[in-house]
Amino acid sequence: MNVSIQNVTKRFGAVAAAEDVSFDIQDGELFFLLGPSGCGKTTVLRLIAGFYAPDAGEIRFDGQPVNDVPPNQRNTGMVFQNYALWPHMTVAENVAYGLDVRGASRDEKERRVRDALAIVRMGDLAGRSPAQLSGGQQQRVALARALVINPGILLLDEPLSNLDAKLRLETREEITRIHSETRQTMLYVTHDQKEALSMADRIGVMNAGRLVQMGTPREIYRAPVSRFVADFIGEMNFLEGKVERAANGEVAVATVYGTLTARGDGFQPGQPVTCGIRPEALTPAHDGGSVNLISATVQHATYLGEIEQYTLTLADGQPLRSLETNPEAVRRPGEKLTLTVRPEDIILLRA
Amino acid sequence: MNRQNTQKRITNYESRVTPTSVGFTVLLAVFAILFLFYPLGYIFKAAFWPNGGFTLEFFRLLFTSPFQLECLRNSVLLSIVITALTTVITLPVAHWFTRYSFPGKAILSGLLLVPMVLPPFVGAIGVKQVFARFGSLNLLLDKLGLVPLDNGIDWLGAGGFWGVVILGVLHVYPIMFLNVSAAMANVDPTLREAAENLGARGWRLFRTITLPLVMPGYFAGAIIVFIFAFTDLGTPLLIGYNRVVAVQIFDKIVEVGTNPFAYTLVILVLLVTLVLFFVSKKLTGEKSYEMMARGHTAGAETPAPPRLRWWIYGGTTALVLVSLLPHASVVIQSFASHWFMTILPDQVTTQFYGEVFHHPLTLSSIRNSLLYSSLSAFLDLILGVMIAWLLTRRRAPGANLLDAIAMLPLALPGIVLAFGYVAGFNIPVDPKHPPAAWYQWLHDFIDPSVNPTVLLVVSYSVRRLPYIVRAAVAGLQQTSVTLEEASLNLGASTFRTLRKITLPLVMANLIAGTILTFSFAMLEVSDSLILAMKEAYYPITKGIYQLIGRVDPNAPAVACALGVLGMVLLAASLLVASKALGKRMGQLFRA
Repeated sequence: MNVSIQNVTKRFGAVAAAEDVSFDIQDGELFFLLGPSGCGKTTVLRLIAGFYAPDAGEIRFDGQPVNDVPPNQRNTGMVFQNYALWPHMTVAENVAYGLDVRGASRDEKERRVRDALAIVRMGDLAGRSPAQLSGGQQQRVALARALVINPGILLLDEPLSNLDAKLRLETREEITRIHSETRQTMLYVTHDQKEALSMADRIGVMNAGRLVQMGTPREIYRAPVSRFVADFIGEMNFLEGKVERAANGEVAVATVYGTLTARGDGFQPGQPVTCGIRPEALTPAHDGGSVNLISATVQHATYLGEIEQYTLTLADGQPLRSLETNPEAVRRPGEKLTLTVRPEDIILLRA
Repeated sequence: MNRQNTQKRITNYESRVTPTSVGFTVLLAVFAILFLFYPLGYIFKAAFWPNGGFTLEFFRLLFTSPFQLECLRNSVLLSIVITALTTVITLPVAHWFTRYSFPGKAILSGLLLVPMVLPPFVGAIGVKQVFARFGSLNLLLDKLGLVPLDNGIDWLGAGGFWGVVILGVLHVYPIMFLNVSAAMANVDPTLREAAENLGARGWRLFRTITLPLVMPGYFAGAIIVFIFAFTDLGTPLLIGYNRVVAVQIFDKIVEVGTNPFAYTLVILVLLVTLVLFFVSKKLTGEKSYEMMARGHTAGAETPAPPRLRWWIYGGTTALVLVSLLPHASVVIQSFASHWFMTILPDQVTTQFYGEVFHHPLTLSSIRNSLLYSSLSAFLDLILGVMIAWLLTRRRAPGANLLDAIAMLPLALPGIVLAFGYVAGFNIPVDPKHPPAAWYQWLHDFIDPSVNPTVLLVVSYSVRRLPYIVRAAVAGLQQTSVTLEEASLNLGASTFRTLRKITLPLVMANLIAGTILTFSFAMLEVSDSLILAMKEAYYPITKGIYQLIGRVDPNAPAVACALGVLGMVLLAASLLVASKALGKRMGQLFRA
């Protein structure tokens, strides 16, 4: 099912939890809403489920406006953050509930409950009560309960936030597997960028009630449109500067650390810009001939085996983070280091 | 134009109109108008506009009649004395039970609450046997050589004043105890520690820190006690202390159509209780909730020092024993074939219990009480669920109003409501002119002088509604809303969700609340005395009242046996309720 959110605003008192939010989720897509807590992503999810009605704007399912459709007629399947399994029903009864409501025959109900529990690998525990299940198992039942009704869209509200680190990884793969097997349209809300980057077809990044950027994980990571997005997703060094020259897609930026060459269009000489550089793009320079050389002093080094993380300081004292894969030498605090970055790895952000 | 339309359609789901919420609201509104506002409005109209025009004439008469003034003075004095005595008894006990730990504490605190469920009305029968001029207590004192019988102490004093006080205090001190000890337990121990750290201790610490923090809780309890004392009908009536407002209202029921004076008295009682109720609401306000939300802090209790421990055991046991005395005497009396001028009866018999089950009045009264109580508990269950659901799951604009109306019966004395019903639902039929069929039906079905069943059931329900609403609200608040959202999300309707998910989850609370309303209805006094006018419809309480007044020498003992049966029923159902509710039961009785 296609879901279309058009200029939706939702206020709670004076606070706009979602402001003029627009995006489309394509049929079969695994769409992520990513943002810090309080950014309004859960509000958008609940607007789609129908637990809130928008103050302005329209929500459409396959082109049909659903603003006035109550939640119990929207056919969305929701996985709640706290799972919300009914403690007075068994696993099977929890999963069968939505089918009961839809008046499924007994045979059909049994078959579909069995299939749904098989998909989440919980077939053996159908007769248990939710209190007897571990957190990860409860999570799977909640998923089965939402999937079994063949929802137009599956809504997942921070589904992994109550799991420990190992289970989180497993369940991530589980959801990805289920998505690729069923091609179920899904909206997944999280504040965890790793979940979003590794699983999403597309990501919408939210901040303070607004949708600030939308794109594939690669686009979001490689070309963030704002300092917020750049900072929130992954790590980023920010170096302030001014455009010196701009021609043929090449931009020279003057900074106090030297002139940096970057790629970009539509910049004017004299324009203030911020150069965003990911730590992994900033590596020790091996020979003297390359461009974009930055010298810094090692403050602290953390050895992680396959990589080494450096915290450095620039000439004016600004901190800088860098990574070296397969580190060749031991760098000690106080050591001077010359770093380099490829022009295409510098993200130019208009101030 | 188009834009305006779309904007109009957009509402919050939380307040979105569903058939279920509309249905509930309409049903509740009809019920409230019919059985709460109409009878109260009727009283107001009859008191201020008796002949169409507004007049304060009856209030002038009330405040110039020496007799009425005496009744009013007696009622106020009674309430003040009962409240003061309750305070004196309760404060040290509450202090002991919140600050110290000692062996047997759980049992003792349970025993302390027992008198609350023993109807003072039944105790009133026993109090005479024990405390009268030639009652057991004076006979015992004489025998022990402490006070000679010729000089026996007049315990009931001043025409029964002290008898009413004793019964009142012994009945309501648990309510004060619950309120005060809750307030004391909610005082963050670090607040006291901070004062101790700065050098305050003992009395100074209590006066400057504990007392001000406990005050709102204390006043809330004191106001409940005061309202109870001011409006209690059964105890003074049975003791024979008739010059109080409540008994005066009861006496004027028969002339309800002709004497507007009674309305004035009812209005007075209503105003007093309403004012006090809102004062207490203001006092408890939101602050007390805030403190409660922080929860109890562990380590606030210290082991009681050995010397103090004996004070605690002695004081608490004495209090419990004395409060059980009237009811114990009722039990003894129900087995006594002859009890006169002796400490304990000479002969024991079970014949009165046999009579209870053969006597036409007692048998029908037990049957009636069971019927009325079951129906009213059922009605309360339905009303309570609807109200609690609207309150917790649909925070609609009218929620505060609904909450206020649901809690109003706490401030609504039984005599006021029952009086309003008798006056407002008086549906006379002139036998010479047969009325329309619907009118005849109203007359046969609603008019309490014909058949009080409907109004008795409704009045029991209305009076106990706050308890079941609280029980249901507490259950709903403990149940996560997402459990219901999950059901809506899977396509279930609001009503199906309520039935399949919400209700099963709060069942324990609902059962407990229903049992509570059932058992209190069994021994409800003022509504029963006022509304049941024909012997065939008497419930247990009115049956007891009727038997006590009979000349038949066996009648008082049969009344006692009936009272004991009532208490046994009450105790059994409360036991079941406390099993279901556990520790939370005490919370239902706080302000």
